[in-house]
Amino acid sequence: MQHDIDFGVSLYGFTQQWCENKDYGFDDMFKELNRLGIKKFEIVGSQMFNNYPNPTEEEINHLLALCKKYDVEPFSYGGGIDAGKYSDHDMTDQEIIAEVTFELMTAYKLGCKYIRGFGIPTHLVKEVARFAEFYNIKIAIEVHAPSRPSDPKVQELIQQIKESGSSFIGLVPDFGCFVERPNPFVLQRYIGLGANEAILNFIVENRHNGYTEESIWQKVQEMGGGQTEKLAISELFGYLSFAPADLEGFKSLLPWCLYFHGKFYHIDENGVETTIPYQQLLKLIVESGFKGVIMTEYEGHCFYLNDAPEQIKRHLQMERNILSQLEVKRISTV
Amino acid sequence: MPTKFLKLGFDDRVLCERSFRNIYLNGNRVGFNLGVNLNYYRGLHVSCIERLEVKVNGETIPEYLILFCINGKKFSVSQLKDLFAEFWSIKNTAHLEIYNYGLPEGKHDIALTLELRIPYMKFAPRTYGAVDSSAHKKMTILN
Repeated sequence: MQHDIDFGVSLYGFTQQWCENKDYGFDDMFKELNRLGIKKFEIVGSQMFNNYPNPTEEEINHLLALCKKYDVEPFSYGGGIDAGKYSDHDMTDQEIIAEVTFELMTAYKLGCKYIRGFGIPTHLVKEVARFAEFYNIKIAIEVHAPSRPSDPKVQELIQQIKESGSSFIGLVPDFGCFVERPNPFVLQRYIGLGANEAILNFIVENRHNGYTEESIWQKVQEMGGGQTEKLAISELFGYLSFAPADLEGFKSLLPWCLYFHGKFYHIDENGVETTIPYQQLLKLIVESGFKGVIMTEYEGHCFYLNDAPEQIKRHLQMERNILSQLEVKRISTV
Repeated sequence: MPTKFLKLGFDDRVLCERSFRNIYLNGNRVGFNLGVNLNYYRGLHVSCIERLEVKVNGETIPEYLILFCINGKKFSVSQLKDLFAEFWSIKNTAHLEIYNYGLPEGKHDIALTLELRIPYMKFAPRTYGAVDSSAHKKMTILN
């Protein structure tokens, strides 16, 4: 451990094997954690339990038995609010609070200290903090792309957390918020699916040129684009959004961060994440005096390269390299 | 994470060749079974199904001939929208029982249209992201 920063790995990183290989399970993932020398992990309930939001006792016990066998530890529970699961109405506030409670119950049974919260409306922050305290589990609300830390709604969230005065509610920023340019693998995938390269370049170049998702789709249709180009627009305006990294905004989150989602897409042979400024992000985290966990969260499965173990290993090494360089710098300036 | 429209690359897992087989009752061929997996990264509540259609060799199967089977229970297609407590997990194959007198030996062209609401990607009241889990395959029926 350096700088009081510890590492964990989100099992979400193993998505491709989990989805493509029926027999791939917790045993396989925990063996990877053992190989990486990592104990702490995050599990996304809706991805890995057969019953959700209330996994059966059998499912929980099975997972806990394997944790014991492989000496790994559920650190955080990837929860979320499926506010749209009813066909006749959006969840009411009462229903949302009940869902948060289900997530707390599962996290409690797993022995997680944290929940990744997603979809908790800002006006319910104070209310859910009370329930989190009952279970002695902290809820970290995720700040995720395409949101950026400086967005007014994120700043309002910080205000509510501040006013709650509770240490049971905070933030988990996802480094996907700081993607600065589309990864070449993303564009290659669209081309592989039949997208027109010139239209793709147009979408990328005009991402921040006053277009909305709808208006650029209109324009792209006029250019002859179809469903694949529509997918590209949807992703590049959605979870694969990109922009100059909002580092000033990130600083404003830091006092409220409970842990971090070290989201990444691809680490090249030189050990560099080519689209997310890890060096700057880790420097700001260290300077904030943060003590806790960065959860490695590989999302390069959207390129279908089947390379999670190697990429996760590179990610951990990259973080260690950056932190040890920061240590050297810190000592030399004393 | 609002993303309005998603189609992931796990298409090949959607139509399950192992469970594509005829159904017999009293010695008569009455229908066929089609195993379906989600093309997504996580499970979804069955109530999130917004569109489900099956075409066999170019012909659309009428909805009333289809039963949707999951978690040991069987439902009509018209019931699906109410099944917020039935979870369709990534590792769980749903089975469509299609009572069209089954299919003759050999290969068949199966086209599934399956669109689901992404219940955590809310854009506006009653407006959510969508995931397309449709698939198209030529498969050999098992007797």
